[in-house]
Order: sequence, then structure tokens, then C-alpha cells
Amino acid sequence: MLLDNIRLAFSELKANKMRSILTMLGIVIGIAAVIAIMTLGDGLANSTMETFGGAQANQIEIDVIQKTMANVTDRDNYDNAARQIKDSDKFNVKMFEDIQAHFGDKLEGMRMFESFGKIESGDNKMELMSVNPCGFEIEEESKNISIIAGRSFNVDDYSNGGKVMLIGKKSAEKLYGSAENALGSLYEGQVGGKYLTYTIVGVYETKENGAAMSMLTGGRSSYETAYIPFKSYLEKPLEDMSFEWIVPVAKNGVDVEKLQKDICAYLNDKYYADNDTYKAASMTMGNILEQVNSITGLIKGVLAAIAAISLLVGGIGVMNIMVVSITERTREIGTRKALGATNNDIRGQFLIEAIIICLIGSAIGILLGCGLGAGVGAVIGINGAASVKSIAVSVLFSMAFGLFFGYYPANKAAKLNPIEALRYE
Amino acid sequence: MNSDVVIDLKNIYKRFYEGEPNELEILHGIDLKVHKGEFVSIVGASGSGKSTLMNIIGALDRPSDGSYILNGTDICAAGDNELSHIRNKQIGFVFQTYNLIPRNSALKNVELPMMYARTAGLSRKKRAKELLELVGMGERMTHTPDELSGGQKQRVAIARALANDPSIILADEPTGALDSHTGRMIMDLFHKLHEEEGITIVLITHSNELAEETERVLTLMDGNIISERRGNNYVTGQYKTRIQ
Repeated sequence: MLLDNIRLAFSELKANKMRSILTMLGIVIGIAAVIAIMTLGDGLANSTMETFGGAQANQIEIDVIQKTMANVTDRDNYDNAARQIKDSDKFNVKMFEDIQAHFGDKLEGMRMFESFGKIESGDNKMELMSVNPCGFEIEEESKNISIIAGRSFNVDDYSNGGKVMLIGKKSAEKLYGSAENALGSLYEGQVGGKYLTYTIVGVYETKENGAAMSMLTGGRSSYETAYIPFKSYLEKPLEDMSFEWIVPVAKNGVDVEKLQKDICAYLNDKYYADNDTYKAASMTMGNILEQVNSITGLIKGVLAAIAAISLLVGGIGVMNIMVVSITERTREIGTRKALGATNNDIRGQFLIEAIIICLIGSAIGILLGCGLGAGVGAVIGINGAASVKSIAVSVLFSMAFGLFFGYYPANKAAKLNPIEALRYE
Repeated sequence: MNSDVVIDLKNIYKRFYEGEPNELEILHGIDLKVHKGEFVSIVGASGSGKSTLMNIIGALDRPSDGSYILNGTDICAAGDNELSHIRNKQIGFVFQTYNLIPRNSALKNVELPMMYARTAGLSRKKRAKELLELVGMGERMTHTPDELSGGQKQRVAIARALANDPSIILADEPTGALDSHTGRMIMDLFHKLHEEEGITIVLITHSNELAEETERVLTLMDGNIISERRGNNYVTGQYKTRIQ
């Protein structure tokens, strides 16, 4: 009987090809939209997770902020402060050492880095960035850096501030022909009007974590970064330098949230108790990650809701066509009833027809949605493979839609009075 | 009650809009017995209650009052599902307008009542083929109704009516939409089924000419059976005589 109904449904669909296709189109578009959006949403969230998650979840960023300012993320809002920030309000190297001494057993290190903007040599431009060991390690992990020629920085480079430099593969090839040729070369470049000379000791290659990250960070520079040891280029002696933020990095297995609070409390007690305006406050990458996730989740939810509405409209289209088709086939329904079809037989027949429209529509929609997800994913550089979950969800949904939107018309058909149906013109 | 009584209607009333001011009584206490193997016709002008009576005999509708035993089953007490099963097994409908399912082949149409009886696919097909051959449609089994003439459609409809070996064939103006020649052929087919297969047939018609060919003629007027007699032109073996 089920098989008969399925066969019957297919022959009905074939008999009204154009109508069937148009009806399915609504479901196709709805399902494709849901799948593509779920796929891209997941891809975006995952790529964000990867970028923030891996190395950086252990990072604690501690900022100098106004005491009255609740929102840490608004770091640039010093203009509204009671008074302008002074160097003495900021963190200094002494505090770094204090933190290291006090929390050393829980810390991997302190991330130190400074960006100097572009360093130019002829028509080649790179971002110049100085890093300490901990800072470089984080760069390595987050950008997936691997040294393809020469060496990385060693202890001497860091402690003595050696005039050595790591450059990217593309720059090496452009400037020296190949990565190997670059090794040992002297690179002379200009930063903000100053000429600096470094010996290239290594060439690295990065596998960036995709465009999603650069979208989120507001489009990171497309130039490669040239790394130098932190101490090798200081604008003033280290002791006199001040920092608006510091980044302690927790060891694995340490409770980052607690450590972050402890460090802040420690700093505030010791250094900021008497400060009239500023204090230390912090946010872990975990916090940021949560925020980013809640934002991507929200975006995903809104988009999915819009897609779901298109699916709903498609479902209503199915219902509409079923109602029309049942009205057209009133006599046929009367005949079937006269021949002994029970109400359940009739209901089953039309329900299966509706479900089959939805299933075929969703099958095409899944293909289209997967293709769309993969295509857009490839363009913006995130993983666009549709998850089994999203496919399963949409198949279930379309079945449910078929049932839901098919039930009313099918029930209407089942309840037809056979005498009136037979007489229907 | 004779065991060979197939249809047993006693004091059947049918009222519409019951209890409302526009209540309408169509049948006023019909008594009717049809025996196994009979060929009975019910004649009457339009408005005489023919269709209402046919709907009751065909188990499409329940009487407002009275009792109807069809082949031992009390129709008045049956629920909707039961009525469906009774129609499926006991009654073979033949309609004036054929009522074949469009886009389905003749074979599929004949299989339909067996599908609702949950007969297995293979035996269904076999039986449908036999029936189509019986009504002389063996050559056109794969044709859809669109590709058949009126007479051919009616033959398919008759084959379909026979599918589940019903107790009666209930034919409502089966020749009404056909020209006289084709109508003649359909009547011959009924005589053949009656004589050779012993099938019980109830023919509902407004045509006295056709009614006179049947074993027993019941005349319906204003909701009452006003006469019951043997058909004037009824001849035993008339199908055979005619085709010789």
C-alpha cells in the first residue's frame, strides 16, 4: 500500500511537471539557504575558534583602564577620562618582573611585542614586529609559522638584542630569489624615517588561518611580517618603557580565569591603590572567544531564522498546491472512496504526495546548499563542508514540513463525503 | 430469510436536514429484496429518489430509518471504515461517467479495488488481466482512459467493478453517456456476465426500454416503489440469442 502510494505520488508529480517543479522550488530554495547558512556559520565559528582558541586561550590581556570605566574593550576611550593617561599610569618592566616573580610557577611567560609599522626597502614592504620568546611562540602557533630555511631566534638573540631578522618566504623570494639566498644577507630598510640594518637568519612560511580571522580583525595587513628580537630595536631604554597592556601567558592546565583575577588584584593592590584614575583590568582570550562566539551565534541565528522563513513560505506553497490538487481531484477521491478506500487510505495517499514533494525538494536543496556552502566557503577561505548534522536536520525538517503542510489538505480529502465528491463537477 | 437474499431493504426512510425547518424526506419506507444471481432494474424519473436509493444500496450512505442487510451484514450499524470495506468487497460500482482514474492505465484502474483490499501486487495484476480479457479489453490494457472510447472506458469500469468478486454490481445509468450502438454492447456485456458468470446486477436507469430487458423491474416514483414486475422483453439466454 505504501509502495502503491509512493508510485501514485510520482505519477501525479510527473503528470503535472511544471507545477511540481515550481512547488518544489520553494522547498529547494529554503533548504539550500538553511544548509548554506548553517555550513558557513559553522565554518566561520570554527575558524574563529581555531584562530583564538589554540594558543591564545592561555593569554591574559591586562589593560590599563579608567577606574570608572566598566567596559574593558573600549581601550581607546581615554579622551573621556578625568585626565589624560601618563606614562606613570602605564605598566613598566618592573611590574613585568614582579609578576614573573610572583606568579612564575603558573606562567609560561609574558608576551612582549611591538609593531613598528612598515619597513620599506625599495618597493618591498614588510610589517616590522619585535617579539620576545613568549611573544614569538604565540605568533608561531597562531599563524602556523614554520621555519623553512636558516634558524629561528636563539637565547643570545633575545638576551642581547641581536640585529637579526626573520622574514617571510614571499619577501625572501622577491628580494633574494630564494629562501636559501636570503640567509646571511643584510637587509636595510626604512622605518618611520630611520634606517635599520638586520642580518637575515631565517625564512619562515605561514599558513594563515583563513580570511575569516582577518575579516574579524578588520582586515589585517596583507604584507608579510619581519620579526626581530624584542630588545634589538627599542625606542628608549627598556627600564623607561611603558605599556598600556601586558600579556601574561598561563601554563597549560592553569585556571586562566582565576590567574587573571589574581594578577589584576595583585597589580591593583600594589601599584594602583593610590592611582586616582587608572587601574588594571583584564580579559582573557577565553572571554573574548565567548563574546565572539555569542556574536557569531547571534548572526547565525538571525540568518538561519531568515532562511527558515523562506522554508516556511516553501512549505505553505506545498500546502497551497495540495489544496488545489485535491479540489481538482475531488471526483477521483469520490471514486476511490466508492471503490473502498478508507479515510486513512486517502489521507495516506495525499500525505505521501506532500512528503515526496518535500523530500525531492530537500534532496535538490541539500545538493544546492552544499555546493553554495563549499563555493562561498572557498571564496572567503573557511571550511565550507556541510555537516552531517545540518543535512540530517534539513531532511527531518522537510519530512516534518511535508507532514505538517500535507496534513491539512490530506485530511480535507479524507473527510470528503463520497456522494458529494462523486457528484462534483 | 432466504440464504440467497443479497440485498434486504426493510422500510427504508431517508431524510435530509433532519430536525431543521427545511427537512426533506426523499424515501418513504422502501422494501426491497434482491436475490443472488438476479438482474434487477430500478427505473424512475429524475427526482424519484433513484440516486438516494442507489447511494444507500451502494453503502455510500446510511438510511435515516429502516434496516439494510447486505449479504448478512447490517449496514446501518457499520462505521465509516466498515462501510469502506463493505463497498470494497461487496459492491462493484459502474457509473454513468465511468469515473476511471485519469493517467492510470486500464490495468491500474482495474487493480485499484484490489489495492484497497490489500491484495498482493502479482495476484492483483493477474486478476486484472483476466477481467480485462473477460470484458473484451485484453488488447488495450496499457492504455490510459484518455486513449479509450466511451464504450471501452465503460468496459474497463465494469472489469474494475468485478475485481473483488462483489455480491452485486451496482450500475448507475451505465449507458447514459454512450450512443445507442455502444450502449447496446454494454447491455450485452451485462447480460453475458449475468448469464455466464451468474453475477447479481442492479441497474439504475431512467430508460424503460433498458429496464424491460431485465428480470425484474422496480418503478420508483416520489420515494415509493409503485410497481414491481417481470421485464417485458426479458428472455433467458438473451445474450446468447443476440450474438448468434
